[in-house]
Amino acid sequence: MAGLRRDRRRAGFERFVAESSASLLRTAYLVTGDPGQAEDLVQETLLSIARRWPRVATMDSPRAYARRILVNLALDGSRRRSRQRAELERGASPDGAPPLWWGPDPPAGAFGRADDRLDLIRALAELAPRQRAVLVLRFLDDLSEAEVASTLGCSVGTVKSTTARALAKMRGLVPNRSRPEPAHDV
Amino acid sequence: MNDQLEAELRAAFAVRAAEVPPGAVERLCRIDYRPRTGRRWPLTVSMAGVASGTAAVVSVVMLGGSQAAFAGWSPTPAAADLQGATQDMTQAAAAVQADCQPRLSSVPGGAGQGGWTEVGSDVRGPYTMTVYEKGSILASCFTGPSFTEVQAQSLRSADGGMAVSVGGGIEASSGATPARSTAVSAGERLLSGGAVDELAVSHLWQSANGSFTLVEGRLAPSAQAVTLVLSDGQDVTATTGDGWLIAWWPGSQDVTAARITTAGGTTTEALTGATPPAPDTSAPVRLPGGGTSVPPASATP
Repeated sequence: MAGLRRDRRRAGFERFVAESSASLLRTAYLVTGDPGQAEDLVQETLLSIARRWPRVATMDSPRAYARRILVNLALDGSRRRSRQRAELERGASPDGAPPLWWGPDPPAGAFGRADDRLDLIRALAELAPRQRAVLVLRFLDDLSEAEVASTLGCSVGTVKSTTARALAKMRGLVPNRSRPEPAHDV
Repeated sequence: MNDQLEAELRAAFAVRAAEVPPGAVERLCRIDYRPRTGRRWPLTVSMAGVASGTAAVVSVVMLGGSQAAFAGWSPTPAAADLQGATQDMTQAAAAVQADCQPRLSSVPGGAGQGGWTEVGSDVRGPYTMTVYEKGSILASCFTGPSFTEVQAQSLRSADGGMAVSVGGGIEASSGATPARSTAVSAGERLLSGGAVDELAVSHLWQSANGSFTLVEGRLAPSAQAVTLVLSDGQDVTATTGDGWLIAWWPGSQDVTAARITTAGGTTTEALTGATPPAPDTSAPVRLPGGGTSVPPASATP
């Protein structure tokens, strides 16, 4: 009986890994900007989930729980790296500095409006990690403000203000995006 | 103004997220995440030296996995010509159709089961891959004895550009109907040669069999047969007919070239990433499984 239960739990966890890995990886990639770091982050998240799977499996949304762990690990790691950088550079790099490497640039013209999109991704790298996480959760994972608040363990008001500040900073970094579309002649 | 920026962010994020390296999901799914208990350590150490013991365990797992994956697959389909289907093949395709068609309605842009046209089926051993078309949308249904069907889709913009599904379409198969095996997308590309055009290459992974690759694309009417050359040098004969080619193989090898047989002889053409001609200004499509359908991040190989 115990063996059967263990087998079912294991199968449930494997299914969870298969169903969630790609989505978690996409979130991690956008939050960290580094594919290798993103993969490590997802692996660390899944290891953490595996340790408490019997409890996680009974939750309404194990994936939301996994996302919460992943984002918190990413923000912790970012703080840690920032401290290390600050120690090395004597405060030259404040918390929220962009990662040293922000992944490969897509080839120019590889798809429509590539340059505009690349500008936005570069601007994303300039945001503080928490602002970046909020934008990724809102606009990649399509979470509501309440869901983002639950993921980050903060209030909905904080999510709203963080989103507003992040978008304002993005508009400042990519000024041409803030202009309304020109009117088309008919 | 924020709405415009938000829409552009959604599009930029979706494109960026599609750049996750194809092998990453597969690697993550292969890891044994089970916590190690204190009792197991002494047992492992006493059975063998630490280094050799670990190597032995790893090699057994890897070998066992590769031997079991997609048993019965053949590089040559049961009938290389879509018109040459046997009664068994027709029955296999009908089984796929019954299993897959209800799910076609969940493909973005494919609402309602009506309007889907069956392009053809590729049968290799106990596995059948059937491709459907609806307007500019392609959907592939894939079945085998040890797993529930896999549903993937490729979207091409009406003006000849392309966009391909990213993950969510596969995950959608575990939505309304519980899946016995769930596949995840590990990356997609669109390739072109001369006679071969708009060849959608989808790298996927499932827990039952590991990684596999599905391809479907347009073919010049003059082509009578096509052999695909994979990045590891392996040849895979495609099922062809009615201006289409369909094939799949176990593993995540890419396809690098196609040998085309016509009435005039056989020629080899390199397959490279197609360059979409038109900018895509539309926001990405949210897929039922949480994924996003977007233009490919990089069209170059």
